[in-house]
Amino acid sequence: MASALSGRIRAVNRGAVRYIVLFGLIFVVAYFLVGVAPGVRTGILKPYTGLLARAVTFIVNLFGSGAVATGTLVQSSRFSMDVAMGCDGVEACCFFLAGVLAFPTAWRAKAIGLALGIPLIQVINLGRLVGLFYAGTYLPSLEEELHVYVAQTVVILFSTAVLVYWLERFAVKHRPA
Amino acid sequence: MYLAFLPIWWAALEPLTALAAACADLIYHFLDSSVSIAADGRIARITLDAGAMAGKHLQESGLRMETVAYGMPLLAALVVATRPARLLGKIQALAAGLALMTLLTVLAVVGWARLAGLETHDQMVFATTGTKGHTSAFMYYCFHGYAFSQPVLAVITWMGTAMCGFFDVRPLKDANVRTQEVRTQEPKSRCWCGSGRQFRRCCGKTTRK
Repeated sequence: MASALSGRIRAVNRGAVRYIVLFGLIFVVAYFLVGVAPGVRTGILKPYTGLLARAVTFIVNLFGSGAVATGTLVQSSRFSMDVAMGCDGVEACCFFLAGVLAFPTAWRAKAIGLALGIPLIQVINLGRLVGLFYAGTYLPSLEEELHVYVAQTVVILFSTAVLVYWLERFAVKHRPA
Repeated sequence: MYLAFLPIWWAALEPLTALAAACADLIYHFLDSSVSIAADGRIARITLDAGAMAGKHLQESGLRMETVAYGMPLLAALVVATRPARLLGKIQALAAGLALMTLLTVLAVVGWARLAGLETHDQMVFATTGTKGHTSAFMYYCFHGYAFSQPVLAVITWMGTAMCGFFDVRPLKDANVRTQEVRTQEPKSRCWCGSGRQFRRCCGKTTRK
Protein backbone atom coordinates (compact mmCIF):
# COMPACT_ATOMS: atom_id res chain seq x y z
CA MET A 1 0.00 0.00 0.00
CA ALA A 2 2.76 2.43 1.04
CA SER A 3 4.93 1.60 -1.96
CA ALA A 4 1.93 1.89 -4.28
CA LEU A 5 1.18 5.30 -2.80
CA SER A 6 4.76 6.53 -3.07
CA GLY A 7 4.90 5.21 -6.65
CA ARG A 8 1.72 7.06 -7.46
CA ILE A 9 3.06 10.29 -5.96
CA ARG A 10 6.35 9.93 -7.86
CA ALA A 11 4.48 9.33 -11.09
CA VAL A 12 2.35 12.46 -10.96
CA ASN A 13 3.37 15.87 -12.07
CA ARG A 14 5.97 17.24 -9.66
CA GLY A 15 4.56 20.70 -10.13
CA ALA A 16 1.23 19.54 -8.68
CA VAL A 17 2.89 18.06 -5.60
CA ARG A 18 4.99 21.22 -5.21
CA TYR A 19 1.81 23.30 -5.40
CA ILE A 20 0.04 21.29 -2.69
CA VAL A 21 3.07 21.30 -0.36
CA LEU A 22 3.63 25.05 -0.84
CA PHE A 23 -0.10 25.63 -0.40
CA GLY A 24 -0.07 23.85 2.98
CA LEU A 25 3.11 25.57 4.16
CA ILE A 26 1.98 29.09 3.19
CA PHE A 27 -1.40 28.47 4.83
CA VAL A 28 0.21 27.35 8.11
CA VAL A 29 2.68 30.29 8.15
CA ALA A 30 0.03 32.88 7.16
CA TYR A 31 -2.49 31.56 9.67
CA PHE A 32 0.13 31.46 12.40
CA LEU A 33 1.21 35.06 11.72
CA VAL A 34 -2.29 36.47 11.35
CA GLY A 35 -4.51 34.30 13.51
CA VAL A 36 -2.31 32.84 16.24
CA ALA A 37 0.66 35.14 16.97
CA PRO A 38 -0.51 37.86 19.36
CA GLY A 39 0.63 40.93 17.35
CA VAL A 40 -1.85 40.96 14.46
CA ARG A 41 -4.51 39.05 16.39
CA THR A 42 -4.84 41.60 19.17
CA GLY A 43 -3.68 44.67 17.26
CA ILE A 44 -5.71 44.35 14.05
CA LEU A 45 -8.17 41.46 14.21
CA LYS A 46 -9.75 42.37 17.53
CA PRO A 47 -10.70 45.90 16.38
CA TYR A 48 -11.74 44.37 13.04
CA THR A 49 -14.24 42.02 14.76
CA GLY A 50 -15.79 45.16 16.33
CA LEU A 51 -16.11 46.62 12.84
CA LEU A 52 -17.73 43.38 11.65
CA ALA A 53 -20.20 43.54 14.55
CA ARG A 54 -21.18 47.08 13.49
CA ALA A 55 -21.52 45.97 9.86
CA VAL A 56 -23.77 43.05 10.88
CA THR A 57 -25.87 45.40 13.03
CA PHE A 58 -26.21 47.86 10.12
CA ILE A 59 -27.35 45.12 7.71
CA VAL A 60 -29.85 43.42 10.04
CA ASN A 61 -31.26 46.83 11.03
CA LEU A 62 -32.04 47.49 7.36
CA PHE A 63 -34.63 44.74 7.78
CA GLY A 64 -35.91 46.08 11.09
CA SER A 65 -34.19 43.82 13.62
CA GLY A 66 -33.56 46.64 16.08
CA ALA A 67 -30.07 45.36 16.97
CA VAL A 68 -27.36 47.30 18.79
CA ALA A 69 -23.57 46.80 18.51
CA THR A 70 -21.56 47.02 21.72
CA GLY A 71 -17.90 46.27 21.05
CA THR A 72 -17.93 42.84 19.40
CA LEU A 73 -21.46 42.06 20.62
CA VAL A 74 -24.54 42.27 18.42
CA GLN A 75 -27.63 42.41 20.60
CA SER A 76 -31.32 42.42 19.82
CA SER A 77 -34.36 41.68 21.94
CA ARG A 78 -34.47 38.07 20.68
CA PHE A 79 -30.82 37.10 20.23
CA SER A 80 -27.30 38.31 20.91
CA MET A 81 -24.04 37.09 19.45
CA ASP A 82 -20.36 37.79 19.97
CA VAL A 83 -18.22 38.24 16.85
CA ALA A 84 -15.24 36.50 18.41
CA MET A 85 -11.87 35.30 17.15
CA GLY A 86 -12.48 32.83 14.34
CA CYS A 87 -15.51 34.77 13.08
CA ASP A 88 -13.29 37.15 11.13
CA GLY A 89 -12.83 34.94 8.05
CA VAL A 90 -9.08 34.74 8.60
CA GLU A 91 -8.91 30.99 7.85
CA ALA A 92 -10.67 31.48 4.53
CA CYS A 93 -8.47 34.46 3.60
CA CYS A 94 -5.28 32.56 4.53
CA PHE A 95 -6.54 29.58 2.51
CA PHE A 96 -7.12 31.81 -0.54
CA LEU A 97 -3.83 33.65 -0.04
CA ALA A 98 -1.95 30.34 0.12
CA GLY A 99 -3.71 29.01 -2.98
CA VAL A 100 -2.86 32.16 -4.95
CA LEU A 101 0.75 32.58 -3.79
CA ALA A 102 1.63 28.90 -4.26
CA PHE A 103 0.51 28.81 -7.88
CA PRO A 104 3.31 29.45 -10.42
CA THR A 105 1.93 32.38 -12.36
CA ALA A 106 2.69 36.07 -13.00
CA TRP A 107 2.76 38.39 -9.98
CA ARG A 108 0.23 40.60 -11.75
CA ALA A 109 -2.27 37.73 -11.79
CA LYS A 110 -1.54 37.03 -8.12
CA ALA A 111 -2.05 40.70 -7.25
CA ILE A 112 -5.39 40.74 -9.12
CA GLY A 113 -6.44 37.55 -7.31
CA LEU A 114 -5.60 38.89 -3.87
CA ALA A 115 -7.07 42.35 -4.53
CA LEU A 116 -10.40 40.92 -5.67
CA GLY A 117 -10.54 37.61 -3.81
CA ILE A 118 -9.86 38.65 -0.22
CA PRO A 119 -12.50 41.44 -0.12
CA LEU A 120 -14.95 39.04 -1.78
CA ILE A 121 -14.26 36.40 0.88
CA GLN A 122 -14.80 39.03 3.58
CA VAL A 123 -18.16 39.87 2.01
CA ILE A 124 -19.03 36.15 2.03
CA ASN A 125 -18.00 35.99 5.69
CA LEU A 126 -20.17 39.01 6.48
CA GLY A 127 -23.04 37.17 4.81
CA ARG A 128 -22.31 34.20 7.06
CA LEU A 129 -22.47 36.38 10.18
CA VAL A 130 -25.76 37.93 9.08
CA GLY A 131 -27.09 34.43 8.33
CA LEU A 132 -26.01 33.26 11.79
CA PHE A 133 -27.76 36.22 13.40
CA TYR A 134 -31.01 35.22 11.70
CA ALA A 135 -30.38 31.54 12.50
CA GLY A 136 -29.99 32.48 16.17
CA THR A 137 -33.14 34.58 16.03
CA TYR A 138 -35.42 32.13 14.24
CA LEU A 139 -33.76 28.71 14.78
CA PRO A 140 -32.09 29.00 18.20
CA SER A 141 -31.98 25.23 18.74
CA LEU A 142 -29.90 24.74 15.57
CA GLU A 143 -27.71 27.84 15.86
CA GLU A 144 -24.70 26.09 17.45
CA GLU A 145 -24.64 23.29 14.84
CA LEU A 146 -25.15 25.73 11.97
CA HIS A 147 -22.40 27.96 13.35
CA VAL A 148 -19.74 25.30 13.81
CA TYR A 149 -20.42 22.71 11.14
CA VAL A 150 -22.27 24.41 8.32
CA ALA A 151 -21.46 28.13 8.15
CA GLN A 152 -17.69 27.71 8.46
CA THR A 153 -17.68 24.97 5.83
CA VAL A 154 -19.83 27.00 3.46
CA VAL A 155 -17.37 29.94 3.66
CA ILE A 156 -14.45 27.63 2.84
CA LEU A 157 -16.38 26.06 -0.04
CA PHE A 158 -17.14 29.52 -1.46
CA SER A 159 -13.47 30.45 -1.01
CA THR A 160 -12.51 27.29 -2.90
CA ALA A 161 -14.90 28.32 -5.68
CA VAL A 162 -13.30 31.79 -5.80
CA LEU A 163 -9.85 30.18 -5.92
CA VAL A 164 -10.84 27.79 -8.72
CA TYR A 165 -12.35 30.71 -10.67
CA TRP A 166 -9.11 32.68 -10.24
CA LEU A 167 -7.04 29.66 -11.33
CA GLU A 168 -9.12 29.22 -14.49
CA ARG A 169 -9.70 32.87 -15.36
CA PHE A 170 -6.37 34.52 -14.43
CA ALA A 171 -3.67 32.16 -13.19
CA VAL A 172 -3.46 29.63 -16.01
CA LYS A 173 -3.56 32.38 -18.68
CA HIS A 174 -0.49 34.11 -17.23
CA ARG A 175 1.36 30.92 -16.39
CA PRO A 176 5.03 30.88 -17.49
CA ALA A 177 5.78 28.39 -20.31
CA MET B 1 -23.79 16.06 -0.37
CA TYR B 2 -22.06 17.56 2.70
CA LEU B 3 -25.34 17.72 4.62
CA ALA B 4 -26.04 14.08 3.67
CA PHE B 5 -22.69 13.01 5.12
CA LEU B 6 -23.20 14.88 8.42
CA PRO B 7 -25.45 12.23 10.08
CA ILE B 8 -23.11 9.43 8.97
CA TRP B 9 -20.16 11.30 10.43
CA TRP B 10 -22.09 11.96 13.64
CA ALA B 11 -22.83 8.23 13.99
CA ALA B 12 -19.17 7.38 13.33
CA LEU B 13 -17.87 9.86 15.92
CA GLU B 14 -18.13 7.49 18.88
CA PRO B 15 -15.96 4.74 17.35
CA LEU B 16 -13.61 7.43 16.06
CA THR B 17 -13.33 8.88 19.58
CA ALA B 18 -12.59 5.42 21.00
CA LEU B 19 -9.90 4.81 18.36
CA ALA B 20 -8.33 8.27 18.70
CA ALA B 21 -8.34 8.14 22.51
CA ALA B 22 -6.76 4.64 22.56
CA CYS B 23 -4.03 5.63 20.07
CA ALA B 24 -3.40 8.98 21.78
CA ASP B 25 -3.16 7.27 25.17
CA LEU B 26 -0.61 4.83 23.78
CA ILE B 27 1.46 7.65 22.24
CA TYR B 28 1.20 9.97 25.24
CA HIS B 29 2.18 7.21 27.64
CA PHE B 30 5.73 7.42 26.20
CA LEU B 31 5.84 11.18 26.84
CA ASP B 32 4.19 11.32 30.25
CA SER B 33 2.91 8.26 32.09
CA SER B 34 0.95 10.37 34.59
CA VAL B 35 -1.54 11.30 31.86
CA SER B 36 -4.29 8.94 30.75
CA ILE B 37 -6.70 9.43 27.87
CA ALA B 38 -9.99 7.57 27.56
CA ALA B 39 -13.10 7.87 25.41
CA ASP B 40 -16.41 8.86 26.97
CA GLY B 41 -19.00 8.86 24.21
CA ARG B 42 -17.95 11.59 21.78
CA ILE B 43 -15.57 13.16 24.29
CA ALA B 44 -11.90 12.27 24.81
CA ARG B 45 -11.25 12.63 28.54
CA ILE B 46 -7.75 13.49 29.68
CA THR B 47 -6.88 12.75 33.30
CA LEU B 48 -3.74 14.27 34.76
CA ASP B 49 -2.11 13.29 37.98
CA ALA B 50 -1.14 16.83 39.00
CA GLY B 51 1.46 15.53 41.43
CA ALA B 52 2.76 16.69 44.77
CA MET B 53 2.67 20.40 43.97
CA ALA B 54 -1.09 20.34 43.50
CA GLY B 55 -1.73 18.21 46.53
CA LYS B 56 -1.84 14.81 44.84
CA HIS B 57 -5.19 15.25 43.15
CA LEU B 58 -6.39 14.39 39.68
CA GLN B 59 -7.36 16.99 37.11
CA GLU B 60 -9.64 16.30 34.16
CA SER B 61 -10.08 17.88 30.81
CA GLY B 62 -12.39 16.89 27.96
CA LEU B 63 -12.14 17.34 24.21
CA ARG B 64 -15.32 17.20 22.14
CA MET B 65 -14.24 15.10 19.20
CA GLU B 66 -16.54 16.81 16.70
CA THR B 67 -14.57 20.05 17.08
CA VAL B 68 -11.41 18.45 15.67
CA ALA B 69 -12.98 16.08 13.14
CA TYR B 70 -15.67 18.07 11.35
CA GLY B 71 -13.55 18.28 8.20
CA MET B 72 -14.21 14.58 7.54
CA PRO B 73 -17.75 14.89 6.13
CA LEU B 74 -16.60 17.71 3.87
CA LEU B 75 -13.71 15.59 2.58
CA ALA B 76 -16.07 12.66 1.98
CA ALA B 77 -18.52 14.94 0.16
CA LEU B 78 -15.79 16.45 -2.03
CA VAL B 79 -14.38 13.02 -2.94
CA VAL B 80 -17.79 11.55 -3.71
CA ALA B 81 -18.74 14.60 -5.78
CA THR B 82 -15.56 14.30 -7.87
CA ARG B 83 -16.04 12.29 -11.04
CA PRO B 84 -13.25 9.73 -11.27
CA ALA B 85 -12.07 7.67 -14.24
CA ARG B 86 -12.94 4.56 -12.23
CA LEU B 87 -14.81 3.84 -9.03
CA LEU B 88 -11.81 2.22 -7.34
CA GLY B 89 -9.94 5.52 -7.56
CA LYS B 90 -12.73 7.23 -5.64
CA ILE B 91 -12.67 4.54 -2.93
CA GLN B 92 -8.87 4.77 -2.68
CA ALA B 93 -9.01 8.58 -2.44
CA LEU B 94 -11.66 8.38 0.27
CA ALA B 95 -9.70 5.77 2.23
CA ALA B 96 -6.40 7.66 1.97
CA GLY B 97 -7.99 11.02 2.84
CA LEU B 98 -9.93 9.69 5.82
CA ALA B 99 -6.87 7.78 7.07
CA LEU B 100 -4.84 11.00 6.98
CA MET B 101 -7.55 12.94 8.80
CA THR B 102 -7.91 10.19 11.42
CA LEU B 103 -4.16 10.36 12.03
CA LEU B 104 -4.42 14.13 12.46
CA THR B 105 -7.32 13.61 14.89
CA VAL B 106 -5.14 11.31 17.02
CA LEU B 107 -2.41 13.98 17.01
CA ALA B 108 -5.02 16.60 17.98
CA VAL B 109 -5.99 14.53 21.04
CA VAL B 110 -2.28 14.25 21.94
CA GLY B 111 -2.03 18.05 21.50
CA TRP B 112 -5.05 18.61 23.75
CA ALA B 113 -3.51 16.40 26.45
CA ARG B 114 -0.32 18.45 26.20
CA LEU B 115 -2.38 21.64 26.45
CA ALA B 116 -4.14 20.32 29.56
CA GLY B 117 -0.70 19.57 31.07
CA LEU B 118 0.55 23.07 30.28
CA GLU B 119 -2.58 24.65 31.79
CA THR B 120 -2.01 22.70 34.99
CA HIS B 121 1.62 23.77 34.99
CA ASP B 122 0.65 27.43 34.48
CA GLN B 123 -1.86 27.17 37.34
CA MET B 124 0.84 25.73 39.62
CA VAL B 125 3.27 28.51 38.66
CA PHE B 126 0.57 31.10 39.35
CA ALA B 127 -0.27 29.50 42.70
CA THR B 128 3.33 29.39 43.86
CA THR B 129 4.90 32.53 42.35
CA GLY B 130 1.89 34.70 41.47
CA THR B 131 3.18 35.05 37.90
CA LYS B 132 0.73 34.26 35.11
CA GLY B 133 2.11 31.75 32.59
CA HIS B 134 1.52 32.29 28.87
CA THR B 135 2.61 28.92 27.45
CA SER B 136 -0.82 27.30 27.62
CA ALA B 137 -2.56 30.40 26.21
CA PHE B 138 -0.31 30.32 23.15
CA MET B 139 -0.88 26.62 22.63
CA TYR B 140 -4.61 27.15 23.10
CA TYR B 141 -4.63 29.61 20.19
CA CYS B 142 -2.65 27.14 18.05
CA PHE B 143 -5.17 24.42 18.89
CA HIS B 144 -8.09 26.76 18.28
CA GLY B 145 -6.59 27.59 14.88
CA TYR B 146 -6.22 23.92 14.02
CA ALA B 147 -9.82 23.18 14.98
CA PHE B 148 -11.12 26.13 12.96
CA SER B 149 -9.05 25.05 9.95
CA GLN B 150 -10.83 21.68 9.58
CA PRO B 151 -12.65 22.66 6.34
CA VAL B 152 -9.38 24.04 4.91
CA LEU B 153 -7.64 20.80 5.81
CA ALA B 154 -10.40 18.83 4.09
CA VAL B 155 -10.10 20.90 0.89
CA ILE B 156 -6.28 20.63 0.84
CA THR B 157 -6.49 16.85 1.42
CA TRP B 158 -9.03 16.53 -1.41
CA MET B 159 -6.83 18.57 -3.75
CA GLY B 160 -3.86 16.42 -2.70
CA THR B 161 -5.68 13.18 -3.53
CA ALA B 162 -6.78 14.62 -6.87
CA MET B 163 -3.27 15.78 -7.74
CA CYS B 164 -1.77 12.46 -6.65
CA GLY B 165 -3.82 10.88 -9.42
CA PHE B 166 -6.31 8.91 -7.31
CA PHE B 167 -9.14 9.88 -9.61
CA ASP B 168 -7.30 8.92 -12.81
CA VAL B 169 -7.10 5.49 -14.45
CA ARG B 170 -3.34 5.87 -14.19
CA PRO B 171 -1.13 8.84 -13.35
CA LEU B 172 -0.96 11.45 -16.08
CA LYS B 173 2.75 10.95 -16.75
CA ASP B 174 2.33 7.19 -17.35
CA ALA B 175 -0.63 7.84 -19.61
CA ASN B 176 1.45 10.18 -21.78
CA VAL B 177 4.24 7.60 -22.09
CA ARG B 178 1.77 4.88 -23.01
CA THR B 179 0.14 7.11 -25.66
CA GLN B 180 3.57 7.73 -27.14
CA GLU B 181 4.21 3.96 -27.31
CA VAL B 182 0.88 3.37 -29.04
CA ARG B 183 1.68 5.99 -31.65
CA THR B 184 5.11 4.53 -32.47
CA GLN B 185 4.00 0.85 -32.55
CA GLU B 186 4.06 -0.80 -36.01
CA PRO B 187 0.59 -2.27 -36.79
CA LYS B 188 1.90 -5.76 -37.68
CA SER B 189 4.48 -6.07 -34.90
CA ARG B 190 3.82 -7.87 -31.63
CA CYS B 191 1.71 -5.84 -29.25
CA TRP B 192 3.54 -4.08 -26.37
CA CYS B 193 1.06 -5.45 -23.85
CA GLY B 194 2.61 -8.93 -24.11
CA SER B 195 -0.48 -10.74 -25.45
CA GLY B 196 1.51 -12.21 -28.33
CA ARG B 197 -0.97 -10.93 -30.91
CA GLN B 198 -0.30 -8.33 -33.59
CA PHE B 199 -0.67 -4.78 -32.36
CA ARG B 200 -3.43 -3.99 -34.93
CA ARG B 201 -5.50 -6.95 -33.64
CA CYS B 202 -4.89 -6.17 -29.96
CA CYS B 203 -4.48 -2.75 -28.33
CA GLY B 204 -4.24 -1.10 -31.73
CA LYS B 205 -7.94 -1.89 -32.29
CA THR B 206 -8.97 0.91 -29.98
CA THR B 207 -6.74 3.46 -31.73
CA ARG B 208 -8.14 2.74 -35.22
CA LYS B 209 -11.38 4.17 -36.53
